[in-house]
Amino acid sequence: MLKSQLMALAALLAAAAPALAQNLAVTRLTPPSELFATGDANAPVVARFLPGQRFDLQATITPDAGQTITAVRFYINNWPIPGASSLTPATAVGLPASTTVATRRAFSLQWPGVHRLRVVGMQSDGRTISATGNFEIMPIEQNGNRAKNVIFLIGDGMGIAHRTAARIMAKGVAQGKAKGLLAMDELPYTGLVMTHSLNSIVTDSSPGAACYSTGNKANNNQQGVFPDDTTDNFDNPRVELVGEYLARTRGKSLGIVTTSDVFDATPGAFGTHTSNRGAGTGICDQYLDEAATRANLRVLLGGGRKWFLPSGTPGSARSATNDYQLPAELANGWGVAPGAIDPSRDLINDFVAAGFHYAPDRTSLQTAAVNAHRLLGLFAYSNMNVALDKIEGRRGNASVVTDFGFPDQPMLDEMTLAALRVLSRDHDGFVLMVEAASIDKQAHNMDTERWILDTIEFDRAIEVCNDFARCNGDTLVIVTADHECAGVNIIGGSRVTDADLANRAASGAGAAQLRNGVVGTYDAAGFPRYAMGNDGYPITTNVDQRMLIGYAANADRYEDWRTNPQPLRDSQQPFNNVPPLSLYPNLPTNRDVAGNFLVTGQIADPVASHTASDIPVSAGGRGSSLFTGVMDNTDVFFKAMQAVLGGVDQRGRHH
Amino acid sequence: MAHLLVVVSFFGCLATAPVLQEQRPEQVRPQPPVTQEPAATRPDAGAPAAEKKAKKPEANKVAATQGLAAPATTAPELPPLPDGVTELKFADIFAPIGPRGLEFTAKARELEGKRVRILGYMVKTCRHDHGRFLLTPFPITLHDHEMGPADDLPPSTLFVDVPPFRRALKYIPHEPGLFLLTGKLSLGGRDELHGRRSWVRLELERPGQGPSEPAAAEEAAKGAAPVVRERVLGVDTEPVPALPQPGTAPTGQASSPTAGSTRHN
Repeated sequence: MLKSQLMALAALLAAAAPALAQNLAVTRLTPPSELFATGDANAPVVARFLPGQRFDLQATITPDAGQTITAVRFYINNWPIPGASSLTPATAVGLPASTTVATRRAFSLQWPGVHRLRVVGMQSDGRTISATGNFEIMPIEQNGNRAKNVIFLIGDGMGIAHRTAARIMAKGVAQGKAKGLLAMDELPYTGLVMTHSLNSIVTDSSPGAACYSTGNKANNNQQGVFPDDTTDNFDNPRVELVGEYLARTRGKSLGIVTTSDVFDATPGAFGTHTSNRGAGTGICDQYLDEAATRANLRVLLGGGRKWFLPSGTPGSARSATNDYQLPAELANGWGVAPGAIDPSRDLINDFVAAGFHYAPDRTSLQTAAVNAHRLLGLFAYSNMNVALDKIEGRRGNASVVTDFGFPDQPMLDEMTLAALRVLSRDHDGFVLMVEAASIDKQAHNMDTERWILDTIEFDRAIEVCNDFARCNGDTLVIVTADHECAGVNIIGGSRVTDADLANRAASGAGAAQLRNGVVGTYDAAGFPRYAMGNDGYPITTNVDQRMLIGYAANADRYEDWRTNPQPLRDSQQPFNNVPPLSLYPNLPTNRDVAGNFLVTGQIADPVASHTASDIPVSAGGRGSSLFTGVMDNTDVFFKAMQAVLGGVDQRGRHH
Repeated sequence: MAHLLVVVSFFGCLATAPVLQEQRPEQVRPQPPVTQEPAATRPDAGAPAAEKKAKKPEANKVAATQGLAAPATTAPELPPLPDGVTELKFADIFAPIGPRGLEFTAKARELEGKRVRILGYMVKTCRHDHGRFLLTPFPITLHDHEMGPADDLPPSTLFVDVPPFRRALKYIPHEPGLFLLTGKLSLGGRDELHGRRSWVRLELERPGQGPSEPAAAEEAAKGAAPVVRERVLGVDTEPVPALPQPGTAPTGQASSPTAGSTRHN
């Protein structure tokens, strides 16, 4: 080629260079895999599914500048997947022009093993691009002795130290021996669970529960879905939930029981699919629109009434901004209702019309559970009150439940009992999720007594399930957590009486009075003793030589070791000595808290945070022998499904 | 025979525990707590230290009626009510809650659009809104950047607007302790930030004055008169530093070990 021609070609390429900056590429392939992300074929397989469990295939493809994506095809092990793939614009911020999302909805495969997923995309000029990932179909071996019922009990945020602290308080320790065991301790099999999410070593409750309900990882704040490149909260690639799968294949029922707002992450992960755990209106609508029909949801108990009231009713939180309406290709692909933006919907009435008995308080819950085949209970506008405050209300000692306006809230064990009564009427069996939500919430607040009592409340619900399993031997009971919260640990015992502690707090002398001479470590920790009332809770938590708790993922807090009289009441007593503060004061700001023992936080948040620690899992009943060793959180799902679908032989093996 | 035994044992189990509820009556009907010590000698955890009595050696076995936490305290003595202002309590806003939604009391409806005074605690929160904070009957911290609207707020939560700061796009930093607020009450549903919907709102006015004086307040908010602004709020009125969002790295570090890569799961 002549020099002049070369120079002309170079000029042409230089002129075209900006237009070539956007390159034809596959930037996301779902289900997620290390094979796609890094090219490592030997890395652990990220996405795993049951035989026949439905999930979406999806790819995000960016065309060359000026081009559009015209066709996409998915292949499994080089075999083309039948059926069309939808092509929709990628709406996430920052993506190149004409980036396209291709989706094949509700795919499933029966053959166990690791499978290669390949996507081929074509742009308008005929150029193609391909990318490869993988996923696994887990084998289910038939060994007889299947579990008819499976109960997931999730202590949100409950790490090993939360359990230990609850045991010390509820049972006591004498000469080094625990004087009794918690109900969760009595389950015969225990293992350790790794809790990382799809996008972090520190998970939150959405993927933390979704791993149990789908067998798959999810991004933080997302449940029942994989991440995608659109801004719609409800169009993400889905994974079939355990309740949906077991209803479709085995005719089982689903129950969801929680002490939180029912739209919150853990209950939401067992009944809905969304990339925004905060979309309360849409999540609660999905419970009826999808879970009640596709997953045979029969029991939904918790707080969160505000999402079920029409938007014009005082107290309603329903809003078009967090409602849902599915794209037609998703609704058609999965065979589900498309939903609607309908903040004025009366969701309680719609549940009742669908055959649910509605219970607004404990009294009506106990009545409804006698005969109901479907049960909706909404006992607070958002989260229910915690165990300490509910018990105080029953003992007639405090006003928190009254201030909230819900004096007749059930305890978690009462809710669990009601759920079991309803679900056990299904001869095909059921899957039940019971969540103690405020172990986590109060650990975030570093409110020691409130999370310990919530753990005791959780244990009483476990005892109800253990009793049920003894009478129904084909029941599997699994006690676990989604993650650890706050880096809790038992650091020792108080060396002083409660009265002395109160005097020290009042002195305002800080660590000199509230740490030095107070925190007993090693031998000085002794054996804190708490007397239990007939209602199963401590008579008081302000005991002499009390147990002391430290927090590793702590925010700033003032600590005087004593029970907060109301949730997060600062330890100064403003009613007694300090006048109320006007917003525009000419007064000095009183930032000090009476005891003045500031424990500086390691994180900048106003509350403590989750940690990446492993958490214990305990199991009893049919198939429980599978739950030993160190396992991933997604393994819990597959072990449970082995017990339900294939069974475990009498020697505890499933080969 | 084995089959018969299985059938017998299933129903036998039911015979011994025919109804789940009856198996554990104490779970659905908690018994009154045991009283082990006369009330007169119970230490009062909520009273100042000087008023406490010495504990007996068997202090752990205190009367169950002492309670798990301190008893509720009484309201403080408040300054005299200004002319044209009505005292409002959180319990005055809604009628006792029934099985469905809330109902405003007649008193609340009468006070809509009028000046009221209310005592409460500022809610501590991760997410902030310009010139806005929440007021509740007892202290609450929201961890809303994780939990969003799954919160512990009571239905009577008051959304307080501070107009000069709202217009100036200033945040209100959290202050512990009680606040006594005077302003104009408004009722009705309104969508707010972060997925919430307010039903009761207070447009704050400055104490000792009538309804808001926009001009002077605007100047204070802009910082033109820093002494006035400081006195207005009594605290540093600079915007609250943004909290780190999940997934972001500390300052000075790359946001991701794969920064620059376009491939992701």
